[in-house]
Amino acid sequence: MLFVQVMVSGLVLGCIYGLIALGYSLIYKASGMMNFSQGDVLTLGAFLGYTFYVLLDLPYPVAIVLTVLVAFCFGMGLERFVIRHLVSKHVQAIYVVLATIAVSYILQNVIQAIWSTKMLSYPQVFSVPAITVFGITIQTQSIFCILCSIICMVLLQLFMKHTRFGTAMRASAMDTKAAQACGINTSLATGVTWAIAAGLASLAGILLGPVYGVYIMLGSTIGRKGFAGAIMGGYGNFIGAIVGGILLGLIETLTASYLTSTYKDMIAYAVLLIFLFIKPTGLFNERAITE
Amino acid sequence: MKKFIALFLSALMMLSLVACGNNAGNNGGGSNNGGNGGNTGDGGSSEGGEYVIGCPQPLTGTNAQPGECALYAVELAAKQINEAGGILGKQIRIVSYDDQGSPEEAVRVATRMVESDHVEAVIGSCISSCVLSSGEIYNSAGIPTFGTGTSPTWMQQGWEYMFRACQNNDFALPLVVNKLVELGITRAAIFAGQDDAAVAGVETFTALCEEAGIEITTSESYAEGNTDFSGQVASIISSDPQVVFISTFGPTQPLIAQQLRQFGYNGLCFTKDLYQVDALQVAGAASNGIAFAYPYLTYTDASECDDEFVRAFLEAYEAEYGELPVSDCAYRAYDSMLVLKAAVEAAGTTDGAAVAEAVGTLSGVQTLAGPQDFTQGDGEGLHEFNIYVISDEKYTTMDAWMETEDFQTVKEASGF
Repeated sequence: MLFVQVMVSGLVLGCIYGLIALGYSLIYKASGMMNFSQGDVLTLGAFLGYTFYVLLDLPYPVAIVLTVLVAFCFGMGLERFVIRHLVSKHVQAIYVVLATIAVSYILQNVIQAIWSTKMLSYPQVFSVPAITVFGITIQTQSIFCILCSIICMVLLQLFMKHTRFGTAMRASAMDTKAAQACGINTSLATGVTWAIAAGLASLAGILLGPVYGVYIMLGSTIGRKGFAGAIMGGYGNFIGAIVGGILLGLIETLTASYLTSTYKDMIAYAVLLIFLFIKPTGLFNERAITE
Repeated sequence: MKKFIALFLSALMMLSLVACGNNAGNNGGGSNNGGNGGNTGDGGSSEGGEYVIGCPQPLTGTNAQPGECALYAVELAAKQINEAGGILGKQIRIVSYDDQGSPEEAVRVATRMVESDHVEAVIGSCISSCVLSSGEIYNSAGIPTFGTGTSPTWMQQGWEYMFRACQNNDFALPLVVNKLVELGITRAAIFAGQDDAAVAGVETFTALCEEAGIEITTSESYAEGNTDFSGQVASIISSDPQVVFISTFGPTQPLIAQQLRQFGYNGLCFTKDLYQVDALQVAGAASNGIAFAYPYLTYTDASECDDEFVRAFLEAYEAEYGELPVSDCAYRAYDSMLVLKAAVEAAGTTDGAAVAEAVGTLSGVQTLAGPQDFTQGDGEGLHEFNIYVISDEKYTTMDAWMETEDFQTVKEASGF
């Protein structure tokens, strides 16, 4: 019984890593860049969700939509005023990465200035807080987290592969000039990419809030783990992002449960290194070797 | 047009953030008087000159909340003392820096305070590892320092200018273990962080349990920033303990409480520190059955507090910052200021050596934790505390709780 409960917890944690990993993969797939502020956007999402759901007393689904919308705008703004500005100066990709790290710290401090350092709590979202099946108790919010992550992965996959805009986003990433020549609005495509990634991270935040409470460092570690999950799955692959995230979550919880809790992060990241050495393309064979 | 849309979206984003900030206004808690610039607090010079007190605290990062509360309390105490005429006619000036809860940063901050700001006394960080790393600098400079962390380690260094006017976990844990023995508990599990205070708490608890014949069934730990402890909880439950000792700080408290209960452990837990009121709000009923030996309690409303002296502090704090302190670090820092004031007045001078000598003669100094006595020669003002427990999502004393049905339920779940 305990083993199943550990597996469920690992699955929930993994799905959250997966949502963050989806954002990393999306940005990489559509613009060839990396955004290390994803974890702090998750924290922003948790605080925004708290504001809409608890302070403004809006229904939880409305709070989710508004949170994702605000984060979407944040992502657009980030791309428009920071990333595009750097890209237009033809800087190396590492400078863009550094800029996102800077944004991450700025975001932490802005969140602290707006909401203070207090730990905040969501009230129970679902009228039935937990479901017991065969003696295993699972929080309803945890099931909701898993469902949302899987739905996001499927929708994103469909959006990127089967819609004109998704195709435009991929085309922009492959060859911006060629895409422009084909009449694609590459600026908008890149902006929407960053916006969706921010929306996904904020969704993870509002999903996690009722489980863990809300505090300023909520997303900092989760953001790093999400990145590791994206690599394990195959950086840039959407199914791989979720699967990689889940794999990392399960490795962590099973390690802590049956091997060592003190060194569980070391083991989780060692597995990441093994992936990088042996299978840099990740589980889903995403192209990783520079030709 | 594109520029207009981008501008509009950015404006919308900023407006949303500002609107959210206003709605969360009560959480703001006043301005953040920290930062790297070395902000100065109340006071300024008067005819009698000024008395410069340094206050390094973690103002950003994981421990920003307790650090901010501690700094606010120090500034409040300084304001109250200044309004009452200052110390020996001198107005207090607070110099504060953000040590980020990092021992390395604490050393940089200490050097700057001693070399550039020429502080005359220090109310030290609430993070014990920061006090430990920077203590030598203050001690060598002959600056009386009151650390506000709870680990025993930094008071074991033999620094003659280092004092503590709040609890030492080494003094609290014997009370906890004595209580476990009294309850007939023979098996305990440990869940702990990896910071200095948490590790020291585990070492002391383990040694005391060995002496008392209590078996440690498992000892689990977590890295800072982690939020999921299901693996550790599974290990703890598998080891079949009668009590879980939780050696953590801050946001981890409600998470571990929730996860222990979610996995089916409904027995007794002891935390090394106060289980804060915000943790109680986050974890709700999962907090029931959690106990701690501590000199302070935090409140959601000042009127809940029975102690007149503590209530006056809470009301003053709320009037100044618009909210009650959520972290007991505010109490620790405020008490440190009260003892420092008493020491300076007893010495009749602000000279560091004289003040340090005077601290050792103090007894019966009224503080939020009760009367403090420094005459035992160990630099510590507090040696005994109450044991509290959370029952029905409220604090109650352990002795009163043991008379209730709730105790019987927890006892049954714990299996002792």
